[in-house]
Amino acid sequence: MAEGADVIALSLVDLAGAATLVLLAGVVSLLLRLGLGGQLVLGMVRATVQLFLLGFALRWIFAHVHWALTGGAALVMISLATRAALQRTSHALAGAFAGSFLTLVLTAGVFAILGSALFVGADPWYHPRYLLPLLGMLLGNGLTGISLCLDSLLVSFADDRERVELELALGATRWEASRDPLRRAVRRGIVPIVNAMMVAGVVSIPGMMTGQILSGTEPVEAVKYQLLILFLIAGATTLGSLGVAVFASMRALDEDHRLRPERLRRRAK
Amino acid sequence: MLAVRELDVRMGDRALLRGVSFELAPGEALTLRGKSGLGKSTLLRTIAGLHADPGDAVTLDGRSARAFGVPAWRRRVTYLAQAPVMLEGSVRENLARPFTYRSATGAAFDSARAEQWLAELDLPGVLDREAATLSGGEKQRVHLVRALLGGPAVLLADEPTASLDPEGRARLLDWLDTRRGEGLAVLFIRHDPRQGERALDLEALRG
Repeated sequence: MAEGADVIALSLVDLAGAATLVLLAGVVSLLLRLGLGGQLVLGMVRATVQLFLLGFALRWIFAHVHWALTGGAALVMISLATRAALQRTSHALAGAFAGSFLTLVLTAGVFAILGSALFVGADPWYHPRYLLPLLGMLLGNGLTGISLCLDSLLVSFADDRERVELELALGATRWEASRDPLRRAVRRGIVPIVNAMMVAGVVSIPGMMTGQILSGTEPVEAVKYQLLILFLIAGATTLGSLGVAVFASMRALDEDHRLRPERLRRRAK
Repeated sequence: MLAVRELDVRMGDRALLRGVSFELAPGEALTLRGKSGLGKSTLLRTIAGLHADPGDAVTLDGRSARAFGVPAWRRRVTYLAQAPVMLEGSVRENLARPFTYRSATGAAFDSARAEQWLAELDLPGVLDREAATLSGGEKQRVHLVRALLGGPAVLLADEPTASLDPEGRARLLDWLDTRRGEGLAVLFIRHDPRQGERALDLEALRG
């Protein structure tokens, strides 16, 4: 380990030491014939390559502070998050990308800007050192909630089609017919972040706070940042889930208040 | 008067039925005949605007579904699916649900009428039972009452007696005859049209 003024920098030897622990897990997997050794090694290699690439990319972006560069990186992150959120569901919904992307821009994107500009007080407000990590945290955590929400909604439309059509047949608009599935879906989407807030600091020390403390931040300051992140995630996930669910409902039920099952496709397992 | 003129029924690119035409006056009944898989249910769902937009090929008193507004059209021309799906909650909540929709335009759930109709169908005192606990035949009768309480002009009834025994079937059809006497028109899919009732054979219109 090499000690700096505040941050204790990790050397490559430190990382290699930590990696041997994963290799140890791989050996256990081999001995127990769990068949996970290959996946563990692949996961370790992928994480190493991906995170170093991210680190170098961020270092370059931080050195060239420009709104277009930050905006471009943010849009790429949101595109990838949208794609990941849509791919995690048990059903695919044709034409859902645009609405989901827009929702994430308006929730995670706007919340990250608010967090960076208003609460952290970054100068300029689009400074990538603040905006991009905040956005990454919001997308990474929001993604789980949004996927769960979307999955619940699409399963309702696909497997509970008769119930939705019953309400339409009785004179419900598409919003009235999708009210119950939508409510259930949003509730399901926000359960993880509500649980995370409930146990934060009691059962677990959140990952970001742990990282900050290890890198030298005073614990109470780390708590403040962690709370800021948690609140932003809760807000972005709830509004993001609702927004994505509304867009998905608009695709699954058309403007003639008709369910469009042909737009839904069950993914092969 | 429900008028269907030269209606084509399609499933994706495939035509199931071509040029379906008939008229149904208030109080009349018409039974659709044809082998299973022909598209009888899809025809009913198309008339209700649940499968596809029927356009100007289907009108009620000269007005199309679009002219009514689709939810308002479905309150006037109501599709009764074969499967009696119950919503969460009590029978009362199930029956009152359509009155919470915007298309109800202020009409209120008439609890006394619901109670009376259920009793006439041999289901007295079930309003406060959990709908999920009803038997198949009981659900089918609640399903029918739920579709009719909003006062549609036309009922598109897809095998409305499928879960009933012969006695229950006759009772339900007699009860529907009473509703027809009040002006309800019924378009049926069923295998046993009553004596003297009109029937339309769809086999010749196969696409």
